[in-house]
Amino acid sequence: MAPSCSPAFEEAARHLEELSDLDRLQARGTLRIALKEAGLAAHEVSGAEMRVVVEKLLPVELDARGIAEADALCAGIGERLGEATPEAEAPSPASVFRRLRAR
Amino acid sequence: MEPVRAVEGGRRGNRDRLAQNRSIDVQALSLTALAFFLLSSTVVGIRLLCLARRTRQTPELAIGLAFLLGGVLGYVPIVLASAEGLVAPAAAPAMLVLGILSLDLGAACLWWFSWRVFRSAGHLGRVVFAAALATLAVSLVGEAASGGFDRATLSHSAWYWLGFGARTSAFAWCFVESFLYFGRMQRRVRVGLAREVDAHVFFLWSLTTAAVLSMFLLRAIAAGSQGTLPPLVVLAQAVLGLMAGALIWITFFPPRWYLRRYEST
Repeated sequence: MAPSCSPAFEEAARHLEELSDLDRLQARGTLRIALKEAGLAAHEVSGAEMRVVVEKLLPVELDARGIAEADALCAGIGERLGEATPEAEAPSPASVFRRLRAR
Repeated sequence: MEPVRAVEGGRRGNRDRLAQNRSIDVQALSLTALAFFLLSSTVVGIRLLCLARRTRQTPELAIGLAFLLGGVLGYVPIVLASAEGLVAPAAAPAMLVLGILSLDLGAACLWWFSWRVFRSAGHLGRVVFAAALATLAVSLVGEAASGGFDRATLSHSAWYWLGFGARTSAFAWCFVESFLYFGRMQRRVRVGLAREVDAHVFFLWSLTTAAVLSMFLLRAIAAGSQGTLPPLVVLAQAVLGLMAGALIWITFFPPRWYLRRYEST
């Protein structure tokens, strides 16, 4: 069974579907590809990380799929992504190792 | 002819003495490496348990216990039980049980750490962890039921090697997960989502586990050799032990020069 997606992923996927011609499956798939490019997965991405992905990587993926005005669309998603998007439930390996090395 | 024979005999004697001296040197290096590895894992393990007491978090508890149980608490009883004359023959089986049980618990902690830190989402990690625990338990029960834990026959027992495989694979899983995660962290560094120092720790951890894994594999390969191990194998184990000891330290207790180097990039 695949792990459930983080709230930040769900929110960004919903906005992408609403603001573009992509259907639900296409929107989520495109977002997953952008996340993979950033070394992230849908179940662990936080709100802050999702904003960076939407700003830096999603426009490239949308361009590649022939979506017009990808930059403006991504800016719109970025604005809609709430500042208070809940973080993923489990701490990431990076945060665990940061704690393990703390002096 | 007699003087020639005497010279040849003398040369042969010199060669034998040289080989013996080299063997002693390699054994001394091996013991030094083992001591350094155990010291490093003990100090870092205690430090991580102190951290766990402060943070009340389970990953630091698990990895701290893994270092202590899988290091000094596991190997010292086994070395004492295996060496001639260090403990009473009647006490040797109990020491072996204590050592192997400790190594198994240490491996279980390492399995738990990899599951909860790298595979907490989904069911795969849970299944792998449960399978590893079951394998360790079966090997212990099998060894006990077959009247094992005898230092002379232990390494010939299939139950022992079953447990050995489970303990070895704990390091293999750690290596795979941390190396894959290092690749993902490098991508994050490229888009500004992570710092180089936070990515590099996964490379260090994968190197550490690879070094320990190689020590286990060499032990398994050398198990077939009768009597003393070939000096090359002992030398390789010593080098790997020194590497692992240093890497454990740098991974979990990074020195300032290391932090300065990676935090500046």
